[in-house]
Amino acid sequence: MAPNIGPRGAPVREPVNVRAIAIQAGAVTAALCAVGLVVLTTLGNLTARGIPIGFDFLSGRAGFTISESLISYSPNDSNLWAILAGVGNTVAASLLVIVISTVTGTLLGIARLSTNPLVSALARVWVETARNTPLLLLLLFIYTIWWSLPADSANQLVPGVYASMRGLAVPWFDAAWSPGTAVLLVALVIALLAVAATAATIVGRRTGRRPPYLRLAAGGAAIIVMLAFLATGGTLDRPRQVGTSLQGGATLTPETATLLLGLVFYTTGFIAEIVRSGINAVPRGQWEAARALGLSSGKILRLIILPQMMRVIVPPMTSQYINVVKNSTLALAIGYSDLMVVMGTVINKTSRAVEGTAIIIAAYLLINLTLSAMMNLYNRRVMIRER
Amino acid sequence: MISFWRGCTAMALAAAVLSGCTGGGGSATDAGGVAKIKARGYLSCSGSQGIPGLSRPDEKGVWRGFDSDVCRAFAAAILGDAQKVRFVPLNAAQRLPALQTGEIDVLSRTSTLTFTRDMAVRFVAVTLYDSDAVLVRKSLGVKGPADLGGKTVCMQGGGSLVENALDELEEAEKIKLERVYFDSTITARDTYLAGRCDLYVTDGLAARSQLATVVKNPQEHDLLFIGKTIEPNGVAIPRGDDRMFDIVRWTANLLIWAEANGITSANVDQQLASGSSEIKRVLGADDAYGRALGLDQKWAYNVIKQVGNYGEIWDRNLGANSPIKAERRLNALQANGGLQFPLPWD
Amino acid sequence: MNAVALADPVPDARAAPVAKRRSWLKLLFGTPLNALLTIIFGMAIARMSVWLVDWAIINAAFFPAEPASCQAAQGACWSFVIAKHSQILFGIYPPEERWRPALVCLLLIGLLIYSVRPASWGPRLFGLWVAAIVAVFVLMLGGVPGLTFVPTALWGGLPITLILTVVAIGAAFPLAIMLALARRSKLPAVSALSVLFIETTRALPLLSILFIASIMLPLLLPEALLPDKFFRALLALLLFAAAYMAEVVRGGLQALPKGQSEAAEALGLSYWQRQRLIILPQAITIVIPALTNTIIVMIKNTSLVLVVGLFDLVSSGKAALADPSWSSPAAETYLFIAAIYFILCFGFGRFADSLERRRKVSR
Repeated sequence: MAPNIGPRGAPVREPVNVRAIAIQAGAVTAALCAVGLVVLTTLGNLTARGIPIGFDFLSGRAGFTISESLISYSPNDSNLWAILAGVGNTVAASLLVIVISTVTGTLLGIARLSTNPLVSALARVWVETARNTPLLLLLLFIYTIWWSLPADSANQLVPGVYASMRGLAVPWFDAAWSPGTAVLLVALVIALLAVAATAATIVGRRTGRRPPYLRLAAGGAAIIVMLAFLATGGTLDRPRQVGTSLQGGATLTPETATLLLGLVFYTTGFIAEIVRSGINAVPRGQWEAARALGLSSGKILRLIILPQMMRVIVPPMTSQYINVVKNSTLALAIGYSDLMVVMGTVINKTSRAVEGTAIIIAAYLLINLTLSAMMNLYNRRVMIRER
Repeated sequence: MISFWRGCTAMALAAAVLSGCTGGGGSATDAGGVAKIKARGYLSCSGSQGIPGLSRPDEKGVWRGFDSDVCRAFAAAILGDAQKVRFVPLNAAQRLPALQTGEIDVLSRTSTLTFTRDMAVRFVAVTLYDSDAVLVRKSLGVKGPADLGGKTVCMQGGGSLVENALDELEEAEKIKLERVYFDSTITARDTYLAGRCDLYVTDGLAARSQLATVVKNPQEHDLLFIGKTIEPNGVAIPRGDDRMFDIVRWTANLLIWAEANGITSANVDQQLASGSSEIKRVLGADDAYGRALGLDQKWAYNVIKQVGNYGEIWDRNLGANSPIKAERRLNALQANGGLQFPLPWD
Repeated sequence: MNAVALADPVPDARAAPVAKRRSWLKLLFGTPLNALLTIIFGMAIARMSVWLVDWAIINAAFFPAEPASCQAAQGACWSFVIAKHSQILFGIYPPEERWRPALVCLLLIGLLIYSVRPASWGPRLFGLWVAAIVAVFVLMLGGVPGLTFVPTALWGGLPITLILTVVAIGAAFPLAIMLALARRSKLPAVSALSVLFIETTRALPLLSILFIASIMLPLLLPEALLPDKFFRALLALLLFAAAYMAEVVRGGLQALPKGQSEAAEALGLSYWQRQRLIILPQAITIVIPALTNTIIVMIKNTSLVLVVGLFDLVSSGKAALADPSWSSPAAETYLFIAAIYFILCFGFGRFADSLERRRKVSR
């Protein structure tokens, strides 16, 4: 906007100014009074019912079990630690779903635009199912599917992979690393990647072409880890059937599997639509120009369309990612111990409902604001590439 | 001109809210629970998520069960009408906050009296003595607690008391159980029945009632009592309300007293006319007890007439006249070898 | 669950501009990749369809609607859904009074369908809706001569879903417009308050908002101001929907060229006249697709009231499943309920799409 026009609607006339102040004063007073009403009523009710207030309970013994926790936790830990374990579970499930759904959602969004009518129709069915069915029902439905699997004897899908009502068990690496070796390995891998990235940047600046050092380094790191794994006597642990339960390997309980499956299915449908509209937002001329250059469809998508699409889709993707965090609270319905479930237990055990609610609000605000800050940072990076 | 009026309206609105601030904040403290219930015209009481025999809405939406009928007794005492109860279904994690915040007036929902809980709300009377139990499939060949090692157990989360019994069991038998938690004991039960778990753990009476009513092939399951702890399931109210405490305690007592004295809903009229002098006084021949509690002179009569005594409530919901046919055991009158006995009136 | 402000989903074909002219055979088998995809997905679809038809129709039990027919069936047990449809649809509403919620559902669905015709839009339709909402609450609650009183605690099933959806979204829309205008207001205090409300609400899971509304609210508000549980859940959904819709409307406001507002101001229109006559009609038209998505998400969100103890469709379906004489066909019941939601959401989405297409054609 040209500066000589001046800020639009600037308060030049005196009466407008008075009115603006009056309206704002009114709005602020109303908001303060609403807050005041709530605070005063709450305090009054708390005193009348003899409910103590304070956060001292956080250091008290939690005294309940969390069935699966990413952070090491036992009932003898404090309530605060239990809440952190809940946060850990929420963040872990959300991140996993976000990463998987971004990949599957992009693929589905591309499939939706496929020239093959069979593929695009199937993709459409997926998208419409996800968009028009409540997630809660989806989760309940998927959970009942586990019930139709064999209960007592595990069902061997392919050798080593079992699926039963007790969960999904796959072979997993059983490393015999000492903590020292593990730290050393992690440091080695990070150093290798850092050196490769720096070298690639330097060479890239000099020649104008970024060599694929990072990819080579990643491959090298994988080989080093593998060799170290074998050299220290690591084995592949296969799940075995012991009585009615499975032991060994890595087991995903039906609850976690349902939550992940349901959230991924649901989120994929939404991300696919974002990706589809993102691809559509790239001007058609780009396709035609790229085709004229003789690029294949896959290459056009990868080199021309997807990078440009990123600018359009980052904001809606951000809100979708935040939705994943919020949707993970539906874990409640199928028995995965997320933050909400843990907070419910803490509130029940300590009867600190007011403080508990405050913690719930603060925790989700914190997680979601962090997430959107990170996405905004990324958005800025994507935007800078624009010339 | 218009803008001026608009400003005025905004200010008037603000003033209205401000007056709400000063008036509303204070008023919350003084009105006692009983006065609120009378003004409202109904008692707000807890419901479970549907445990047969204890509290569950039937197909017509009428809540049936022991805990629900205990709620009705309080409504009959306070409002003179046992039907003036609204049941609020709550899960384990919601029930204490619901009581603290005033969402419900009375909690009567298989809640064990513990020190910690009694510091948060006020437990008034013990209505049911229970123990913990597991349902286990017969096909697993479990003979006793020692055989439970390594089994998967479906249970209600939210810090319910059965968890303590499991801890105890694990420690005593040196075994480890794999626990799977659900937001409601009903979901836990259904998941167990579907085969997800080897065991389903809950209160003894709840386990019995579900085995008798909802479990499809009851002969395929065993009922195993675990833990030595007695679970005293009580009635609770918010803290700091003496009047409500009086009414709830003495109404609960009335139910047991009536049974001990042979007063039933069928013969209460006759007892009022020709019972002993104590019976006549309690049932409302004079208004001493009613006045002291701030209730109608015939409050006790109303309770027994409309809801029945402890034994009647038991028989109707858990005992001989129900599909559950549970024995009284600890809940029998002390004279019959149980733990229930009436407190004296004078 | 939650709204996503999609960019205007333009009908595809851009990626494959020449696609339409090719024959089906060529589309399916034109390139080696397409042929491979067709074979893989074709076989998968064929196998799935056979299995599905076997399960859902051929081997399924329909009549008689008795437990025995279910036990005998190899496939789906629809007879359970047929036998229990009244309980699933109306929850624990007293059976002899169930014509009332049935009438409410018919009324609401009928009016929704009637409202779809742009020809019927106008002040009269608004009046019709107000009358309908009043009628709905009178019918559901009763307490007037001829109708026994049914407290909201006994309401259940489809009417709950429909009432929550219609009333929450209907009331949230004007609130959303106010919030969007406030957020873009030049008055810093007004816009800050709006930002605070919108951003906090959007960062919180609906479950936590429902928890606060249903369990914590009695502590936070004086008894005199306290609505009952059903209305508290309604309020929570309303505020939640308002925050999301406000952001969508704001998107539309931002998309309008500033000239519109300036020209209107030059004509001497007041702030509210400008918004009502010039800005909002254009802004809302722009965001209809995004608004559709938000509303669909809100319809689905009503299923969450289950966790605060309202007997919505999912909850009454679960209650019906507890009948011991049946073999608890959970998957069939959830499919039935999902189908109801799908029809509601998909139908609404189609309607909005056709509206959008008509708008584009008319321009």
